[in-house]
Amino acid sequence: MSLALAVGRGLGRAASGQVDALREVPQVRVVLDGWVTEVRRAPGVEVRGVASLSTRNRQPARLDFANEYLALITAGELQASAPDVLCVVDAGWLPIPVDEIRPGQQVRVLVVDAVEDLRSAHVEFGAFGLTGRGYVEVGS
Amino acid sequence: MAGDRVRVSDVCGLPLLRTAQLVGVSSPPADPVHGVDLLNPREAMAAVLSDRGVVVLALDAAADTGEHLVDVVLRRAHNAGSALVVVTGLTSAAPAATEALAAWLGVPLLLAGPGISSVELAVELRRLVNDPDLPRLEMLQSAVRQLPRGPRSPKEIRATLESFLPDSNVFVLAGRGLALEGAPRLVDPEDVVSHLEETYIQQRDVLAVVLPLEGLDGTTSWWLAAERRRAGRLWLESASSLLALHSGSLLTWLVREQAGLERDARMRSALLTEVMEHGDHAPPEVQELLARTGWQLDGWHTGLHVRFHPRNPSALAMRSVVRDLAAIGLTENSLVERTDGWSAWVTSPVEPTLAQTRDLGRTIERSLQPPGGTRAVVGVGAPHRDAAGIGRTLAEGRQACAIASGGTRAVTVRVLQELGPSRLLLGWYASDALTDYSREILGALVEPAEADVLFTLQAYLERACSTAQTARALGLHRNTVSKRIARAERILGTPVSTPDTRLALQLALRVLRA
Repeated sequence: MSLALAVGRGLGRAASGQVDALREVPQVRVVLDGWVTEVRRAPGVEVRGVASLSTRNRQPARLDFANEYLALITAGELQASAPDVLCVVDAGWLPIPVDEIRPGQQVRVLVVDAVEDLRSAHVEFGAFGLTGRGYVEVGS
Repeated sequence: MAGDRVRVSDVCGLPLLRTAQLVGVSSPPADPVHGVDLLNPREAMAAVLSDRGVVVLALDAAADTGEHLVDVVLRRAHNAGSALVVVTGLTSAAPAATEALAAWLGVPLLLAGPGISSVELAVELRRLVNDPDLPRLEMLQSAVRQLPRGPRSPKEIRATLESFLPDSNVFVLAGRGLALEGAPRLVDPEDVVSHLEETYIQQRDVLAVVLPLEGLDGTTSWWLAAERRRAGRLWLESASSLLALHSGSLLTWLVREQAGLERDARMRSALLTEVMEHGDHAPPEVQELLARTGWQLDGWHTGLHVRFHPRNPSALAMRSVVRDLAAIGLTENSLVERTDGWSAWVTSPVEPTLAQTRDLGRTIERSLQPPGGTRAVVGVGAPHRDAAGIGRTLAEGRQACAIASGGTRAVTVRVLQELGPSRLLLGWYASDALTDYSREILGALVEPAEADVLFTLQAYLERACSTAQTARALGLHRNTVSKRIARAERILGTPVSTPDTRLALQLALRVLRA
């Protein structure tokens, strides 16, 4: 709860012009700053798709999502994936949920490290992360 | 291992990958391929990739959960120095990010779709990489077994070659790029016929093999060629061997056919002379020939005269014209070669009305497609009766053709009865004395070296001396037209746009064309 409050406060300060505010929040990283170039959603009831992004230095990146953002791969390298929390915010640091992301938006992707419990052995295998959504794990 | 024999372009040209989408590069590079790495999604991160290898990523089309791996494998392939990444089992097109990544890394990516078995593909690729000559030798062995003994028509040769060269387009051209069988779809026919020795043409991802064939007179008369998009060196070698293998049968057929057609054309020319000389009272041997060719002397005849620019096609290439003119009931036997073009006539039992003759002209205009690189001008005479009328209507068709020569469209048709006041000029065009005088007026402009200047001048005069309209009609730049007109004026020693000079030049040009 305290982490959530810290992130919320950090976003608020960033929106008011203190762009480095989030750096002071442990467990939070800004991993991408760029634009959405394309969004593809799979047909069907289940939310699933991929957003194509371009970073400020023109590196291509893909952001796979189901009903949450699942994995960010920049220039072919995995930058972050569930169970870490991937959060996309717009130019005003307001969150963009998966059903509202669209081409042309200026975005930043934040990663909040998952608590250790979500990675630990006592969690049933496959419940979290990419495999929890049926995706093949990328690994490192 | 076959050294650097196999290239990425050869892999992209495999029949199994014909529908695969190439991403990241505009055309398959000629980089060498040394191995094949088959990856399933679970080992995509761990498997060791070979230098200059083809990476085959086999996604599970049913599960639809590994597409994000394409980007990761592209990066791994880039780091390992792989030559190409092929992905099977993709259920939808790659997202923009993947396409951008392939281009950014410079790694060619082939998206093979869900219908292709990754195992079958890997086996095929390993066979190609390890023994690239084997498929070619097997194919050639099969081709030799099926090699025809006697002459074979261009149609048969094309079908045979295309059966051995999947996804390829085979065609046979005659001089000036005229298509005898098939037609080039990827390369320029003018480019093909500019080669006098066996060669290949490469334009971006298109390859074409060209094999020139010599006629009986020792000059290059025909070109047998095959073209293909996304083909590699191995295809080039196969196509080259196959074309050479079948060229003998084709050449025999072409030479025999050409000789036969020329003999028939000569016979019809002689027959027409007899008809015009004897009318209804032709000797029995001529009557017999008339029956054989199917010419009717009774009834109402409407003559037409066809001329092609810059010059008439060969008897063999005229076949396509005969096919077009079937729309007005003409056959190969109907066309008679004259010194300045081809004549024919259509016969009806009752006198055609003016509207019917006009319709005949419109039908010709619609149906006739001049062989590649030529323009056709057609004159249609007025209907005249019986044998005596044939010569008359043909002469009128020829005169109308002379008037039509002013047109610059692909097909220009003039019907004599519609000519109006320009009929006044028909006698003028037929005068020998005026032909000499016209040559004198035009001077050095009638030399072959000034053909472009003369042609441009003619178009310029017929467009009221408008540089812009002339440039548009001829597909030239305005400055080119201006330069050519300036040159014409220098040669003639007078400005061409004054009313009297313009009229005199127009008449002189028409007389020469007639």
